[in-house]
Parts: sequence; structure tokens; C-alpha cells
Amino acid sequence: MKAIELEIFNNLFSAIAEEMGIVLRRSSFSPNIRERCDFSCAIFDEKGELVSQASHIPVHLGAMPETMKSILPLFNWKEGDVIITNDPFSGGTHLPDITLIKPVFFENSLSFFLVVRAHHADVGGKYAGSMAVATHIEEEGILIKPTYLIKGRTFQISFFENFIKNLRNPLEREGDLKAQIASIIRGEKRLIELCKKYGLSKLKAIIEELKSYSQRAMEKLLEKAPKGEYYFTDYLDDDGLEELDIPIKVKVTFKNKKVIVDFSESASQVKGCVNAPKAVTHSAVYYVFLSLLNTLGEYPINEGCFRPIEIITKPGTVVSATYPSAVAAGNVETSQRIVDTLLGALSEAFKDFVPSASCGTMNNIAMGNEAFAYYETIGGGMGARPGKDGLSGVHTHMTNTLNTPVEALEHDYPVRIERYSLRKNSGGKGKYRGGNGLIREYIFLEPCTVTILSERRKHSPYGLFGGKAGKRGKNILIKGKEKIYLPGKVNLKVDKNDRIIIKTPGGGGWGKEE
Amino acid sequence: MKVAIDTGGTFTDLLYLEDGFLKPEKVFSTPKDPSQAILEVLSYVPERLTTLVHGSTVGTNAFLERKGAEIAFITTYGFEDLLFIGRQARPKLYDFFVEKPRPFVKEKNCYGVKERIDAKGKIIKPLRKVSIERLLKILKENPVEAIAICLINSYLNPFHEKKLKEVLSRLKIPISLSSEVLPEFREFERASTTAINAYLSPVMSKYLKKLKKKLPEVNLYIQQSNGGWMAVEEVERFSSHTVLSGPAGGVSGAFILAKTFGISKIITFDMGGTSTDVCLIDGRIPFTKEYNLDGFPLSIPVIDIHTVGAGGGSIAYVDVGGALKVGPESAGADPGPACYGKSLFPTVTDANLILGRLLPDAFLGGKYKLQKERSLKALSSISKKLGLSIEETALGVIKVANTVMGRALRRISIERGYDPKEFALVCFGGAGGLHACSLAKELEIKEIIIPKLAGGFSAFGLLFSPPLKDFSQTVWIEAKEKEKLLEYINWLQKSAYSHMEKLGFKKETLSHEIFLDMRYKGQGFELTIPYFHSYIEEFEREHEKQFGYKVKQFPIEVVTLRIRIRGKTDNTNWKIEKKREKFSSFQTRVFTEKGWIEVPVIDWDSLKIGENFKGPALVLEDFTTVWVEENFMVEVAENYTLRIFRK
Repeated sequence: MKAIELEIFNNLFSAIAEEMGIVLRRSSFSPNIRERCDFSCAIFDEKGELVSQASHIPVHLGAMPETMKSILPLFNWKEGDVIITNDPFSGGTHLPDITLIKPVFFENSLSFFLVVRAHHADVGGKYAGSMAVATHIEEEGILIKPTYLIKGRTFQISFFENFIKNLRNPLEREGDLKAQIASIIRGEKRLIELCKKYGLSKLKAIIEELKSYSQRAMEKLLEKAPKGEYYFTDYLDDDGLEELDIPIKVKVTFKNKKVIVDFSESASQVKGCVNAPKAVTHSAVYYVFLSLLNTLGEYPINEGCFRPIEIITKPGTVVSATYPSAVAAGNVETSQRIVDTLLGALSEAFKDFVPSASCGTMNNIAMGNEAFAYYETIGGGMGARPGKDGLSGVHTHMTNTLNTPVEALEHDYPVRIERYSLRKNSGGKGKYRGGNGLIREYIFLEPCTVTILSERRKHSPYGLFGGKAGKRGKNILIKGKEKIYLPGKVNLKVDKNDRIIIKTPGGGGWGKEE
Repeated sequence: MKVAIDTGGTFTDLLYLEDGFLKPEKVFSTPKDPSQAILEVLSYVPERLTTLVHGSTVGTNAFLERKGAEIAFITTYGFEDLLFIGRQARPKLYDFFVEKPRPFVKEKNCYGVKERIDAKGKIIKPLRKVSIERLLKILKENPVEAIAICLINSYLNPFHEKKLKEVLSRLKIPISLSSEVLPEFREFERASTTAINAYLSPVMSKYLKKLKKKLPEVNLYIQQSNGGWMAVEEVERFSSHTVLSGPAGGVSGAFILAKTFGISKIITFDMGGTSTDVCLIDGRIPFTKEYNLDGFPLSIPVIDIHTVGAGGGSIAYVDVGGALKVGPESAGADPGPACYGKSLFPTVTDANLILGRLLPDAFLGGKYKLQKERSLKALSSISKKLGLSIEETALGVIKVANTVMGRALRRISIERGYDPKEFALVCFGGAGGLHACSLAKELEIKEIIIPKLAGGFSAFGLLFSPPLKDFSQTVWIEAKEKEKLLEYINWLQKSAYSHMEKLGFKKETLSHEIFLDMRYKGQGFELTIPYFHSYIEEFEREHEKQFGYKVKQFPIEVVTLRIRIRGKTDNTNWKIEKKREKFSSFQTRVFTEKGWIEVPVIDWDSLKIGENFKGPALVLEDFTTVWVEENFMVEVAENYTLRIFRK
């Protein structure tokens, strides 16, 4: 009855991860979490291998296995503990993503781990929103090395107070962390119910079955690629400090039901904040193969999917950054370029499945002053797919956060949105057209600081098989009658009634236009 | 005489009271022109018809098939693409070929007007007359059938929307204003709801006019998604309120039935051909304001029904990794499961037939013979792939389908802080009786209630539902500002009552309930709390129940006020007639975990009130089969309702 149990238990586990997400979203305070769903929940087994995850944000989910791997050996796990971290160099992504990890014990034995990661609106640092152009991790915000938030059911008050007193909105942080705790406690309750109902040893056996089931499916996918080596290079515009192209290079090798993805030849880490921790690179690679796997049907996402995929990165490169490099945009921008690079390499091997480059940036904008901190991202055009046009005005690849309703934003913050529309004709032409980008125009009603982290302002999103590239993005500041073109990554001060217009890139076209 | 008619996908059901007895009638639906089936079924009614309460799928179907009107969408300049951008997210994450929901408004029919209202409701850029005149001219040159208007922040100040309507009404087409349809914040949700309303209005209006013409002497009432009915004229203006009108009838019916047994905590379970609807009622029918209609938010109060893609027609298959899956693809009513004789889709119904739980000669009262050999053929390829016997395969299909439905039940109960053990499962719809016991076991539910009219139950709810109308307004008040809150409540109450009086209701026949949408300041979701003196504590209690915590020092805000006005309900005394016994009990074989077992088949019409018997047993009626599993005890309650208790 194995085939039947696979489906039943996959459902039971993913229902738990999803329920954790519902609890977090509905009870949290940061607009990032509640409106934009910038969070993720997952269940790991006692070995630290992924059992199940809810479909939340790809860039988090693929990174969490790395988080587990680096944190598992650090602690002597006890019932009632909760570990907190945002350390990009121990499996984290960037500082605003705060992760809580809770071991789950059943009949006194360590049986599972629950992990919940959420993007907080602010974690200190030089600029509101903690998403700035910086050169050192300490400038980006407070780095929490993996430590106890709750130890043996005792809340670590001194750590906590020390942490939040340096933040811009401590009450909101407290509310969000409470929501995160509520979420893992709910997950624990459900897992224990499951253990009681089916017995731990049965669950363990099923989990192993689920892993090999997913592994088999992934191997089936990899077998479809013609054996051999595939290469591709794409570029980041700059690091926010200097005008320089930053190459990301990949070599993909298919052999014996396996794939090796090698980024060793990519650029060394840079001064600005586009460095990606290794976990982010893993996320991007997993995202690409999981999306390809989806062309065969829906499979549970767990450790088994990752087994046939080997990822090679060289420490100290822009795709495997080391302390103390700045990483705020590695998670949101470089991750997108890693996807573009890998898809470029796979476009020959999986010709019927691989889309042209999507907008390739999350168009991050953070703003604030003493009274508020707010952060959001703007979607763009999706690359054209073999057989289909790309979608317009959506988030693509490594993110899928919702927009904040204009009416909610204007009610909560001293900002007005003057325009939010599709950017007509920004998608690349081709047999199938790239999707159009977006235009969002802000008027500031109070002086504040603004940070923009964006990409594809210099290098356009590529087309495939004769399709034209999508239009590059533009960032514009309007001061009175003056119109100033801003760089892709910038920190600046704005006055009352200044405007910023962000035009996001379109997707690349696919195939020659007939 | 008053009758209720529910038009479903396969059947059109009619129900009326005669000398206190419920009289049902059933005919096949006529999807191309639903009024045809209505007239047919009405021909069975002996007395003169005075009042008809109608549950209609015309609105829902027009939307699902994108056969609504061509509409213009008018918004603030700079936001013309609102309906196309939505929340800027894609519906699926790991899918390069994902699609956005199919649009229902044409891009060329979206217009921006220069005007602006700020977040406090103040006009900061007046709407000029020339802009309206220009728009009028454009619309005259590019005619549409209806108009939706949704300006930014108009929920705080409808002045500009009203001005637009004043001038554009010269076009003599229906105009939906967002400040009337849904005066609540979140522009995309409000715009989508308003546009759906405009999109459905001409279709609904045409259908209702036709029906009225055929039934000129009849008071025609339409069931709405909130579980109550409204007169035709109001429904033409608020057509979006007719979505889910049938299923809403089923839920109200289940609640009425349960209350006759003194039970007010129930979970409804309505399993149909392609999907299953479930709803949890804890003393009060719940509603949601986050309903999603085929990809677009419809944010009016809709009975909180959760739907999953598992039904009798759901197709089973084995995927590349070797797991057995069921649905969401469905064989529907046409061509239907393999045993209907038109397809070879292996479905849940086929699995039930193979397992002996459905009898081939008793389907739809024996009018329709099921072809078991086709079911066996359809499931054989799956059984080969799995290396299991055909019966084990069929049992697997049922188990997987039950998992999907079980998950839906968990979602509305456990995940929202309710313990299913405290609830009775009220099961109706054609296929539910075959799965109810398994689900009750899975969720540790103690009692299942199955009404005698399970096959056409929505009509039962319609017959006894009250007139109902919801009013709301986003207000943004600090919860502790009680005086201000009371002022707003008074104002909304007054305007709600005067609206009802204009519709011809007498004030003394009406009653109302007040609800507050509340949240901790800074949260993005509101909890809807019934308004009592202690509404703040009530909110904290609910927050703790749903999320496991409350925050003491945080300010609480009342975001939106809601008032629900209810008219009188008719007499709810009803009885079900004893019908003639059709057959005497015989034995059959049913396949279970234990293999093939001998099971008695009982004619529902042979049962006497007060009688008890034990499972396993199959209970048959023309349109329903109930599979009573081992360790379940059946009590035949009033009106031949089956109350099935788990041991």
C-alpha cells in the first residue's frame, strides 16, 4: 500500500507546514509578513533533512536546508528550546530574515525540527529597513549568531531586550517574533498529534519513503537532459559603489541521473552588498530544478529532490560570500541573476521547458525616518515561455511577495502612490513576447531616507532562440521641476513632495518574431 | 403557495410545504436556459404559486465561463491596470508555465480619470467636469453594457464616484460604484468586487426579466451568498451577491436541521461530482470576506464555505514517482465516471462501485444502470502499475480521496482552533454518504447526521431562509473610542434601515446584528467580532483562540463596521412523509480493509422512527446511498433523519 500512503502522508505533513504559515501571516505585524507573505515554514527530521515545506518564498525555502546543516551540530538540543538567528554565514540569507528553529521531542527523543523564517521590517543598521548599500555586514543591521531565544521553556529576556532596544520599531518586532513563536508551537502540536496517531517509527519509515519518491522523480527529470556540459555567463550591473560588471559563471554537467552545477569561476566577492551567501545560491539552484520537475507533475519538496543535485561554489566569491561582506542584496538581487545564469545554461538541455530571462530583480525600495520604516518590492515582466507569452507585472523566480495595497500604505505611512501601472511595450518581442514591467510612482509627504536596490538597469533580461531582450529598468527622482536619473542601487535623502518613479524591466522574448 | 427551487449542475430541485409535509420534486437541469427546467419542475406543483425563492448558478456560471457583460472599468488616473496587476504575485511558485487568472475586463475598456482623495478622505485633486464629459464622449463612441467605478480611497469619501455616476447615467446602462458595493479599504479587492458586480448585472438582469415574464404573478426572491434572499430588483443591482447561492442554501438547511435536534455545532459536508464543500458552524453561520471567485477576490460577505477538488467524478492516476493521486481533474457529470458508459476515466464513483458500496441497479432510483465492467476496466491499469489487486486499488482511491476531503475538514476546524470532536458532521449531496463514516473516524467526529432529502438539500435551506442584507463601512477607529464607535454604529444602522424600508420592508419585521472587524494596530488581517458591550475582550479572546496569543500593550483598532439586517422567516414546522417501502432488506458484499464482508442493504423508506441498527450496512434511497461502517450505530430520528454515532 506504499503508493497510497505516500500521498496520504505527504498531505499530512504539508498541511502542518501550511498551517504554520497561516498562523504567522494572520497574527504578524510587519507589512512584509502579513501583506506580502515574505516568510516560509518547513519541517525537518532529526537528521536535519527536509521533510516538508509550505509553498512560500523560494529564496527562503531552498536556503533552509543549509541553515539546518550549519546549526544542527552547534547545540545540545533540549525540549522547549527555540534558537534564533539571522546569520547569513551560517545558512542565513540576509539580516532582515530572522529564523526560529525549534526541536520537537516525542517520547523523550529528538524527532523533528521546525523552522520558520520571516522578513522583518527592520533589524537596525545605518538605514531604515536594513536594506541599504553598505560595505560591511555590521552596517547592514544587527547580526544574531545562532543563540537561544527560549532555553528549556525559559524566555531569554536579557538577550531579547538587548536585541530589540537597538531597533527602530521594537514593539512591532516583538509582535512579529511572537507570531513566529505561535507558528512553531502550532507546528509542534500538530507533529506530536501525528506521532501519537501513527507512531514515530512508522512516520520515520514513511518519511524515508517520501524522500526516495521525490528523488526518483528528480532523477527522471535529469535523465531527460542530453548528457554533457553546458556553460553560461550573465552579469550583475554593479555592486552599488563602483561601475563594474560582475560576472556569474556556471558549468552544468549531466551524468548518471545526476547533475553537477559548478559556479567556481564566478567573480570574487565585492565591496558592495550584492554578495550572496552560499545558502542563497543553493536556493536558486533548487528553485530552477524544482520548477523543471513541475513539468512532470506535482511532487513533494523534500531532501530527496536535492540528492541528485551537486552544487559547487568557491568560498569568497559573489555566490559564496564570507564574513564580513555585505549581503543585503545577495538574497534579493544576486539570487535572481544566479537563476538567469543557470537557466541560460539549461536552455539547450531543456529547450521545451526553459523561459527567457525574467525581469531579474526584485526592485527593492526601503524608506523611513525616526517615525517609520517601510520596505517593499516591485514585480516586473516574466520571460516568455516556449509556447506562451510571459506574464506582466508579477514577481518572478525567487520571490512571490504580494504588493501592499495603496490604500493600506497611504493609511499607515506618510507616502502617496501617484501611479501603479503596467509599463507598456517593455517586454522583449519574439514568437512569444516577454511580459511587461511595472511603473510605481511615490510622493513623499515627509522628509525621509530612501534606499533602492535594483538590477537590470544596465544589462537587459536576455531573450532566447532569437527573442529580443526585455527593456531595462529605470529609477527616477523628481525634485520640483528637476528630473534626475538614479543609479540601480542608491541611498538618498528625499524632501517633502519629492517623487521617485521606478520603472521595472520587462521579460525577454522567446523565438524569432514571425 | 411558496416554493424553493435550486438549480444545480445536474438537477433542478424543488421543494414546498403541503399540509406541513415537505414535497420534493426533481428534474434534470437545462444549463443553456435554466428557466426551462424551472418551468418543468413547477408543473408538478398543484396549487397556485405565489412566492418563489430561487437559488441560481446563472451568475457563478457566467463568471466561470467569462460570459458576463462587456464592461468599462473606471478608476483614478495612474491605476488603470489595477485589475491586471492584482496583488502582483503569481498563483504558483515552482512553475515556469503558470498563468494569471483569466481576465474578465478588456484592457481597452479601462479608463483613468484625474482626481484624488487622500488617506483621510480629503479631496486633494478635484474631479473636473470636463474630465467626466470627455469620458462620457469616449464611452458613447466605445459602447459597453455596464460600468464599474472604483476610485482610490473612495471608501472614505464617495463624492467623486457619485459625481461620475450622475453624468454617466445618461448612458442608460447599469453602473456599479465601489463605494456602494463595498465601502471598505484595499483597492484591488474593492475594484475586483465592483467589477464582478458590473460584469454580472446585465446577465442576471436578463435572466430574471425572462423568469419574471414567465411567472408574472409570482413574488420572485433570489438566494444570496450570505444565506438569505433578496427581491429581484435589489439583486439586479447587486448581482455579485448571487455567487454560491445554491451551496449557501445547503449550509443554512443543515443548520436548520441540526437545530431540530438541539445541535448548534456542526460541520457541513456536501460532496458533489467535481468538488466537495465544507463549512463549520459554531452556533452561527460563519461568513468570510476573502472569497476568491476563479482567481478574483469577491469581498462581500459570503458564507464561509471551503471547497476542494475531490468529488465522485475525480479521476485517479499514478504519477511518475509511483504515488496514487486523485483529482483535481474530474470527469464531471458529462462524460462522467467510466461506469456511466461514456468514458474510461477511473473515478471515485468507479472505486465505490467496485467495492460494492454503490449498487449498479439502484443509482438514481434504478433509472440509470451503472456499468461495473467499465469501472473494472478503467481501474485495471492503475492496479497493474501499483501491483495491487483491483479491490485494493479501489480502496486506495477512496483513501486518497478521503485524505483530500479530510484535509478540507481539518482546515476549517482544527486549523482555526475548533475541536471536531465537539461537532456533528451533517452530510448531504449525492455522494457524501459513502464517505462520511471514514471522515468521522479520521477526525474523531462522534456523530453524523444525514437528512432524508440529502439529494436535494439546498432547496430545503432556501425554503426556510430569511431575507438578509449586509451593510459595511471602513471607519478606522481606535477600539477604546467607544463614543465615536457608537456614533458610527448609529449612523450605519439608520442608513441600513432606511435602505430596507425603501425596499418595502416594514421596520417592525426587521432585526439586526452588528459586527466589528478588529485587529491590533499594525496587523494586516481583521477578525470579525460580534458587537457586544465587551467587544475588546471578545477580540482578545478570539485572537488567542485562533493564534495562541494576545498582546496586552498594543492598541486595538476597529477597521470596518458591519450590520446585517434580517427579515422574518416563515413558519419552520415541517415533516417528511412516510413513503412506501420499495424492497425488503437483502445481503450484499462490500470490500473493506478486512476483505469482502457480508452487509445488509436497507431501504431507507422501510425504516421507522426510533429504530436502531448497527453498521456495517448500506442504506439506500433514490438519490443517496449511505455506507455505515463497522463500529457505527444508526438511530432513525425524527423525519427519518439518520443519526449515526461512532462507538
